[in-house]
Amino acid sequence: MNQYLIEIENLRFSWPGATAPLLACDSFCLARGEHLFVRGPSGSGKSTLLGLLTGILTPESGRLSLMQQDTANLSATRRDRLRADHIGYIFQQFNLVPYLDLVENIILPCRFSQRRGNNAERTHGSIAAAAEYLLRHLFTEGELDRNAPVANLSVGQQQRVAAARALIGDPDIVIADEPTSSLDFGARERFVDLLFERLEETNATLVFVSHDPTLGAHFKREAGINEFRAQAIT
Amino acid sequence: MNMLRLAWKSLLNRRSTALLTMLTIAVSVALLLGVEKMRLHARQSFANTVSSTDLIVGARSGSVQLLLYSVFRIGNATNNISWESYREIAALPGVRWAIPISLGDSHRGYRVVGTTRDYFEHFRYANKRRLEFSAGRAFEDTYDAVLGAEVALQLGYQSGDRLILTHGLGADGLAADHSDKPFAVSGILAPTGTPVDRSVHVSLAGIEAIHINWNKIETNPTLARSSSDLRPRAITAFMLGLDSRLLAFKLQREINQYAREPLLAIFPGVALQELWDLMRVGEQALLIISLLVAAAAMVGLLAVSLAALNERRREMAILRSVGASHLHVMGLLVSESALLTAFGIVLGLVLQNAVLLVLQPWLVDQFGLLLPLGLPGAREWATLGGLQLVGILVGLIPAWCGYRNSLADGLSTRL
Ligand SMILES: Nc1ncnc2c1ncn2[C@@H]1O[C@H](COP(=O)(O)OP(=O)(O)OP(=O)(O)O)[C@@H](O)[C@H]1O
Ligand SMILES: [Mg+2]
Repeated sequence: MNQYLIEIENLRFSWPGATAPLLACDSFCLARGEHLFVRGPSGSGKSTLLGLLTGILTPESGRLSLMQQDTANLSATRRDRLRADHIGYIFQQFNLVPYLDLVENIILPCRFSQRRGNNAERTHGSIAAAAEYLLRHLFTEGELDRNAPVANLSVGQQQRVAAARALIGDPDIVIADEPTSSLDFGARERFVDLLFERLEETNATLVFVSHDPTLGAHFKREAGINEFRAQAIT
Repeated sequence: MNMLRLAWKSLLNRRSTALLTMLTIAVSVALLLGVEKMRLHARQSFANTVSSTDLIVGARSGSVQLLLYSVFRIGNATNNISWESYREIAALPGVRWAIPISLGDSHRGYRVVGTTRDYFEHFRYANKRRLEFSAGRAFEDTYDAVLGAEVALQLGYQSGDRLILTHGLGADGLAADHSDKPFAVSGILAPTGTPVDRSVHVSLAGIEAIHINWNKIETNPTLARSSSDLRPRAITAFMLGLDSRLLAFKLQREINQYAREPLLAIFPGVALQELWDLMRVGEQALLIISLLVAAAAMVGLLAVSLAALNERRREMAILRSVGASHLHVMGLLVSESALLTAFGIVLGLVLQNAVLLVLQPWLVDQFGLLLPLGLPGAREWATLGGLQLVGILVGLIPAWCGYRNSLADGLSTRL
């Protein structure tokens, strides 16, 4: 039987102060191991959708289940816990912690979530080894100065650190908001290879937002943002 | 995650404000410890100054005043007492020993005490300790002088050195020198931590000798030396040791009603207590001020944490978005203020000792207060512990405010 990790029913969302709802979705499910590619023009609400799918934003009405738990029934603390344990989110703006070095940034989820920490240890032996593994696959040999503050990394490098942080500890759901926007071809290929390798191995679910149509080839399932919008845009 | 480590890194990231906050706390801690140390050691060193003396007798004045000039060598006597009165009282039954004291001269800023050899025999300080000589011995000749430890150290005197006493208490040059009557150092006392260290002791005869023909031009020391009668005419005060404590009350009454001249006899312990009572108000004012400064530092810490909170909404939101719970964020903020307070306290300890190191000579010089360097006592640790606790509690306030900021708010970048 299909196990749905993300389920939406009659969901509505509008930003405070907006006159009309931005997002509206009557029914949507994503099963374990499914990969979804979401397309849409700038400003159409893709990041907003991902904010909802990660429990950072709360729906105005309707039902959103993550990991088969209705988020409306969860306290803020439990929702944080759920996100920490099960969701890896690559933010569009990366959201790295500026005063931590890159390895510290990457292992942050393992520090806050016992589950992610245990996963990393089970797969790679130790949390540090897990970070090392991800770094090795995302960066070319000798590209990185390990001790440089993350603020000194190039934008593309920061994006890959953010990706590694989302992937460490094998989350059940990976949410990626334009994760290749600042990557050159080589870096993009390395990232995509690593991403699908990890997803394959852990049977994780992926929601991937991108402007880059060539990436769509990797996905069995695609959706336009219009499927989630209250009013379709062309 | 180890929140202390994260807090440390976050503080490093904001090191200039963190440093200033820490410094504020450090200054308040240094002040608090300084006042406490002063209080404690002023008491201790005052109480150590005299021991085993049953009565102190001087011309009638205030008992605190008598205590101050006779024992602490602070201030001056208004009147002298006659040698005859002293002799009579010292000879009363029940008086075990008597030490006369004649003040009024100085040597390069240090007071000269005219006394007898009984001083070295019977005077006790601290816990009934007697005076010891670190070199030489008590004065024998009229022109012998016994130096307190600090006098010898500061002025670089050794046994046999010559020194010239000054009439009055002024610094050299201002008052008239008794340059015609040089004294020789016969002995140097071991340090006591009391005003004895800062005194030059000579015999009563020596005091008389330098005052004979004072005002007349007298340049031949051998003439003064040969003066047959160097018996003192007056002294400033005397200390009495009695056979029994019980006798003290009776003797005190007798002395206070002495017919020949108005005298005052005091119990050193009682006068010390009066001195405390006088000082208590000032002491408490100082303590309250230092506590208020500490409170101000804590309010400053709170203000800085709250102000930073607004700028750090994004930082908090990022941490939460990668899995930090409210408890983690709270732990971070509490760790931060706890760290700032802890470092402030450590820095305050260092600062206090550094300031003391610089001020020590001046304090000893001006007030006879030897405040030792080093770590504070149990009482102060308790105070510091209380301060640390307040520092932790202060962290709870921004933690609670931070708790109410929504995650989405913090994550959406404001331009
Ligand atoms: N924090 C916010 N408060 C109010 N309105 C917002 C906020 N964030 C986004 N919006 C609005 O929601 C709409 C969708 O924004 P969103 O960021 O989801 O677009 P997007 O599809 O991710 O665009 P892009 O491809 O440029 O990242 C925009 O019209 C924007 O004005
Ligand atoms: Mg977006």
